[in-house]
Amino acid sequence: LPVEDWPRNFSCDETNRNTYAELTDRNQTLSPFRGKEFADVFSVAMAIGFKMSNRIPLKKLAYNIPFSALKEREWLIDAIAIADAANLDILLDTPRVVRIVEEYANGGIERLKEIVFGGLPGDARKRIEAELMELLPP
Amino acid sequence: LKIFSIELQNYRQYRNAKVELSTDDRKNFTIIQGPNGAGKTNLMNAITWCLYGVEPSLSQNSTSFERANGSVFGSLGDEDTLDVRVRMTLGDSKPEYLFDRKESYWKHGKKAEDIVINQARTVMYLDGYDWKNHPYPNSLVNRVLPEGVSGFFFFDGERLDEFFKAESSKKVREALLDVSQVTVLDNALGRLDGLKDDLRRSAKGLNSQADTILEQIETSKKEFGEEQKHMRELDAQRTTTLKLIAEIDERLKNSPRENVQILGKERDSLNLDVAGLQEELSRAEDRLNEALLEFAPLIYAKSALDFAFKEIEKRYKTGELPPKIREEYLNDLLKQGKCICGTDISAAGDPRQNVEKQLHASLFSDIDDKIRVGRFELGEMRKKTPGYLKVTNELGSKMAKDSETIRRKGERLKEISEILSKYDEEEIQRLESDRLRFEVQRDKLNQDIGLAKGDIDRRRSEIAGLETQHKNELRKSAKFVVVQAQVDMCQKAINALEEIKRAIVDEIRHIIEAKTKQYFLSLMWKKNTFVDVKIDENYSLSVMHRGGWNALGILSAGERQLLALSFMAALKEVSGFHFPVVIDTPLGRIAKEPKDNVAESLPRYLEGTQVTMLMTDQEYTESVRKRMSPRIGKELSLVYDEIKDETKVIKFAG
Repeated sequence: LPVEDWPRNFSCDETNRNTYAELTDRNQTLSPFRGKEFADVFSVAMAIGFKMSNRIPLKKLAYNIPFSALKEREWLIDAIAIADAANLDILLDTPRVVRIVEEYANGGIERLKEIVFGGLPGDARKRIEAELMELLPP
Repeated sequence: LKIFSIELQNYRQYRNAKVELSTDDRKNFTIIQGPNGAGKTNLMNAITWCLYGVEPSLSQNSTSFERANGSVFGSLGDEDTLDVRVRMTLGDSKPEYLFDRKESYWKHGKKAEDIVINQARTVMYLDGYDWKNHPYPNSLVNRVLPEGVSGFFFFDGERLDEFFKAESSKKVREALLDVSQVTVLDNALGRLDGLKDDLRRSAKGLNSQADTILEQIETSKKEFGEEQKHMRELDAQRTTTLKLIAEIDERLKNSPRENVQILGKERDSLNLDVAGLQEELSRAEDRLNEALLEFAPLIYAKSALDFAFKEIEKRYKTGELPPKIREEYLNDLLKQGKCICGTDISAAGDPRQNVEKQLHASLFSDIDDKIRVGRFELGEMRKKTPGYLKVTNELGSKMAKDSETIRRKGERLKEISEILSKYDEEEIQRLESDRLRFEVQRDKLNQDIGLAKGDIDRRRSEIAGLETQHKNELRKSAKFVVVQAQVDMCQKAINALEEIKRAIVDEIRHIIEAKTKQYFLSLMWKKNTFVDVKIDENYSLSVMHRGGWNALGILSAGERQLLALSFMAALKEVSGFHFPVVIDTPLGRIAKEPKDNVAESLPRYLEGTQVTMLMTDQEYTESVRKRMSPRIGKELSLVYDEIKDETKVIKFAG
């Protein structure tokens, strides 16, 4: 791919496709992502994966996250790739950028699934909110 | 289309009557005035019965027998028959269509029996000077005004007040679906789902494991259907329970005991406040979810944002960015071994290294603009992150405040109930005890509905999971590829249709929102109190107070009726059907001065539409009449003779 030419779709692992569907299901009362798009889940999962340093390669690609829905997050994607490679030069290699963030999202989605459907006490939004508060500077 | 005339024969209190409506485009209003019981509502029922064979404004225990005029039926001899008939003529500039519905009753023995021996519906059209039978009466009715949207053209103003009381988002949703006319899409969706099942079944025998899963899918779908049916039953029970509670509330509010009236009204207003606050709470929850989606990625990946930002800054500081010299030119210099200033750069060393550094920077020339944007965006994202605390704090404290207000109002509601339960009048005690019983029933039903929704959700994901398993299993057999492609095609079509349906309903929602706002704010007599009307994606309607809060819960009965009237006018307009409007008791709940304002403004919003208003003498006051007079084409009165059980239609005498 030429520089800056993003693929039409980002991927999740085939085995996680259902998790994306369940998290965004309009009727899923447990999920703070209900009625939202796969891209919203992907963005959070990618950031969680990065935070946990959990990069898991995808076994089988399911191309189901349109880049158009991630466009606003373009620089978040780039930032994660730059931090992962510890070098700005990664921006010259778009396919690698895509692979890095897909792998982080693959690592993060498991954690997200556990937060939302893991049967933990309280509601999922509040659990994520509490984690975020811990991470914010005092 | 306009209604030219309505003829009624032996229909309820009308033995033989003809009502001619104004068809003048400028004087488009017909006023039919009459006391309670004179037959105003039955005139509206006659119209819907003639068109669709239904009478929506009847009390639930009415039987079809009552359609025949009681006194005429009573005077029949044994074995005699009686025809009940309603006939309407419609057209643009002259009568062009004739709708006729007739039912014949048979009197058998001494006891009057409800025996309809003949029912007939005829639709005729004018062909030159001849009336001819229309070959497709149903499709004609559907073309002029389908039954599903008729409720936005013929409605009871008195009941409009109820519209935004209980379960308003459900009613708004139903109205929007009706007016969006998406039933054709629903039918298509049902058919595609059926086709998908058929295709799956056609692949039976290819793989035994797949067959087992298919059986599970079919069982789950049956269960799903049962669960949905159960859900609908619970929903209907809840609606009945809510109606029963509302009826008791009305009786308490109209009690001859003044203090009971006051408590009843206070409870009404407390309940509306609580409902409004609960809606606010759920909106705040939604906003917190939105904030979570916006901020969570930035906070989790904060160290990445910091690192990338610093990395870019560093390159700018060291002069590596932005790229200054083109890549090809630097490559040429390195090849030639001579710099532009004449320095030898053929061998390794500082001068050559400097040119190489410039070459590296030049690789970024293609994404120079991107990096410039990134430098700015990363800075903004980093600055934005702490804002999450502010959002959650603000919403959190608002939610805590609202919850506390709900708790306090709940306490007061309990007190009111206790006072009424111990009131020194048996009837009041009984009503309150029934009310408490219905409230327990309502809460139980709410709980059951919640559980039923959970079951349905679980079943839906179970089916989705099984369908994926089935697909994976069948992939193992080559023959199946074609069938699976067809199933996938069906699924794609289903997804696309659902998306289209959602887009249509969303678009209609926005238009209805804008029009309701326009009508409500113009018709409203308090000119500076309310600033906006919103319908959110959960079909929840809010009337925004200038103080920035939703005032739906505190609207007076008259204001609520006006809101519903505005909503109806918006729905009517968006429906795309040009049919006359008939409103029963349009100003019933509106107090004197606002009534005059509405009487003056309403005709402006129903310009070009033939409107018939069925009003009591309390509604059709001298001042209302004066304000509407430029638009009134006809004024009629209904006079009921109790002895003869007959209503006559005469010219209004003022």
